[in-house]
Amino acid sequence: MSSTKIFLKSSDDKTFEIDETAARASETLKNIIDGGCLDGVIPLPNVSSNILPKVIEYCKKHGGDNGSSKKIANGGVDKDKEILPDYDEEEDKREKVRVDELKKWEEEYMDFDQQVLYDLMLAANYLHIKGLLDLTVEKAASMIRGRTPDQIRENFNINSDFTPEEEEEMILIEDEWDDEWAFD
Amino acid sequence: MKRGKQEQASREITWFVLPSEIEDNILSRLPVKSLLRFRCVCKHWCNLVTNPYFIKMQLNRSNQIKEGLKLVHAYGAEVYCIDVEACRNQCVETRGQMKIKMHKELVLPFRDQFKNLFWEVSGSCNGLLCLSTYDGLYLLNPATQEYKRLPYPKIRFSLKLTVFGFGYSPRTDEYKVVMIIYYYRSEHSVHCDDVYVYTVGTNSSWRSIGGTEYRIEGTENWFHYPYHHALVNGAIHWMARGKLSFSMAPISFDFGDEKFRKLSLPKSFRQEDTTHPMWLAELDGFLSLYQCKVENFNIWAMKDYGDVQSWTKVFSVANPILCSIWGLFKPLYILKKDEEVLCESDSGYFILDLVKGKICRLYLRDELYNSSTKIYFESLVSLGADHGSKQERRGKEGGKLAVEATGD
Repeated sequence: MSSTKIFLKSSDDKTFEIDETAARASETLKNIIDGGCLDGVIPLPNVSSNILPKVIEYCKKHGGDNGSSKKIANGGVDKDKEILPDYDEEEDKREKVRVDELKKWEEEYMDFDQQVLYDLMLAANYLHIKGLLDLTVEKAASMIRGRTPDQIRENFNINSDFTPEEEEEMILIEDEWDDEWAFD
Repeated sequence: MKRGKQEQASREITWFVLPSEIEDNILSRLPVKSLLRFRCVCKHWCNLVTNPYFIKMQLNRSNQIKEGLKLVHAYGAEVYCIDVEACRNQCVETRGQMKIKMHKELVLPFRDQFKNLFWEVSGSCNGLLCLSTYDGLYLLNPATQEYKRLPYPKIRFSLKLTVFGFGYSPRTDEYKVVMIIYYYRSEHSVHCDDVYVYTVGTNSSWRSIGGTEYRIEGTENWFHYPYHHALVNGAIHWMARGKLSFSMAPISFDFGDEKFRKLSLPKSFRQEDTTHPMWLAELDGFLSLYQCKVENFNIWAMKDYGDVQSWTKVFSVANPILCSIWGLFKPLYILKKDEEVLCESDSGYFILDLVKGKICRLYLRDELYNSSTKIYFESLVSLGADHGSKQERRGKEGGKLAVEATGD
C-alpha cells in the first residue's frame, strides 16, 4: 500500500500528491481514507497552497511511523523503553541516532516566520496531525515565555480589548507583577 | 498606554484568528506565574486563568512536565517556600554562602489577622496547600492567593492527636479534607471515634463519617511526629496498626468513596522487618514505602496500585554513606530517575546521588528547618464554588476569601 497516491486540493484549487502512508499521519485524512469515501482528490478548503507543501513535508517524514513521531513530541524521551521485553543495546544506539537525526530535521523544518507558524498551527489542527500541532504550539509558547505583556502584544499583534477602567486596573496588576518579577 | 502597534493589524492572520483550542493549548504550556502576569494582555487571557476547563488543562500539562518543584514548610508563624532548582544550583556549590536567599516566605493573605499563630503544612495537592493552626484549617492557593478558612468541627479534640489528609479524587472531581481525631484510651493507647470529611467548593460543613479502627503511625507519640503520608490514586495513605494488632501496614483513605482500606506490605518482608519504622511517600507517582535500618536504606514502589505482587525494591543504599546525617531519612522527590533522590532528615535537606554514592546537603538557614515539608507545584486551581466568575484583582495584602465554611 506504500505506493498508493492520494491527491489533496488546496483552498486555492491547487493539487498536491502524497503517499497514502504519509497521509495517514493526519487523523482527518486517515479517516477519509479508511472511510472509503476517497474520490480521487481530497479537497482541503482550509489549507492554502502556500502551506500545504510544508504540511506534506512533515507527513512524509512522520507518516507510517507514528511511534517515533510520538517520541519526538514528548521531547525525545523514550518513555516506553523500560517495558520493551528485549532490551537491545545496539537497537538503543540506532534509536538514539534516529531520534537525534529527527530532532535536527525538526529544527530546520521549524525555521520559519510567524505567519507560517499561524498557518501551520491551523492546518495541523484542522488535519489533526498531533505531532505537528505539538511542535508548532510549543514554538508559539516558547515565543511567549519570558516576555513582558507589552512585548507579547506587539509580537503577536494582540490588541488590548479592555475598557479604559479595566485597563487602569490591569496596569496596576502589571506593575505589581513587575515588582514581584524582579525577585525571581 | 501599553498597547500593541495597531498598524500591524493589516496582516493576514493575527492571534485572534486562532481557534480557542489552539490558543488554550499554547497558553497551557506556560508557567502559572506567567499566566497570572499575562492577564493584562487581553480580556481572553484574563478570563482564562479562572476558566475551570483551562485550569485543568494547565494542571494536567504541568503534572506531566513537572517544572518548578518547590518545597513548602512551616516554621512557627511563617510558611516558607524553597525553589529546589535555584537552591541546588547555588547552595550545593557555594556551601552556604547563599543560604538565606533560598528561603522565600510565602505570602499568607490571612496572616495579618493571625500574627502569632503557629502553622503546620498538613497537605499539598495540585497547587493547593492545607495549613493547620489552632484557629482552624486554611486552604490556600499561594499562586493566586485565593484561600478558604475552615473552622474545626465544634467538638472537643486535641490537635496533637489529630491527623489531617487533604487530597483530590479524580473520580468525583472533588478536593476533600479528612480529619481523623484520636483520643487517649490509656497512657499509651489511642482510639478514634471521629472522622470528619469536608468537601471543598460546596457550602457544606464537616460531615461525620464515624470512626476507624486503624491507629495511624505517629498518633501515639507525644512529640507530634510529622505524619508521613502519600497521595496516590485519589487516596491518601499512612502506615497504621489495627485495633489489636501491633504489626504495621499501609492503609488508604479514598477521597472518592470515603472508605478506609488496608493494603499489604511487600511479600518479601519478614516479621522482623516490620518492627523497624517504615513510612510511605509518593515517589514518581507510585505509592512508595521506605525503611531506614542500621545497615541500609531501602525504597519499594507499588508499581501496579493495589497489586501486592507489584511491590518492587527500587532503591537500596548502604547506610554508611547516610550515617553522617542524623535522624530519619525521608525521601521527598525523585529528581532524576535512578540517579537522584531529594530527601529530608531531622537536620535538613539532602540530595542523594545514587550514581556517585554521595550526599549533597542543601544549605539553608538551619533554624528554619522543621521536618514537615511538602512538595508543591504552582497551579491555578480554585477553591471557590463560583467557577468561571470574574477574577478579582490580586491584592497585595488581602487575598480573595472564598465562601467561608460553617462549623458543624
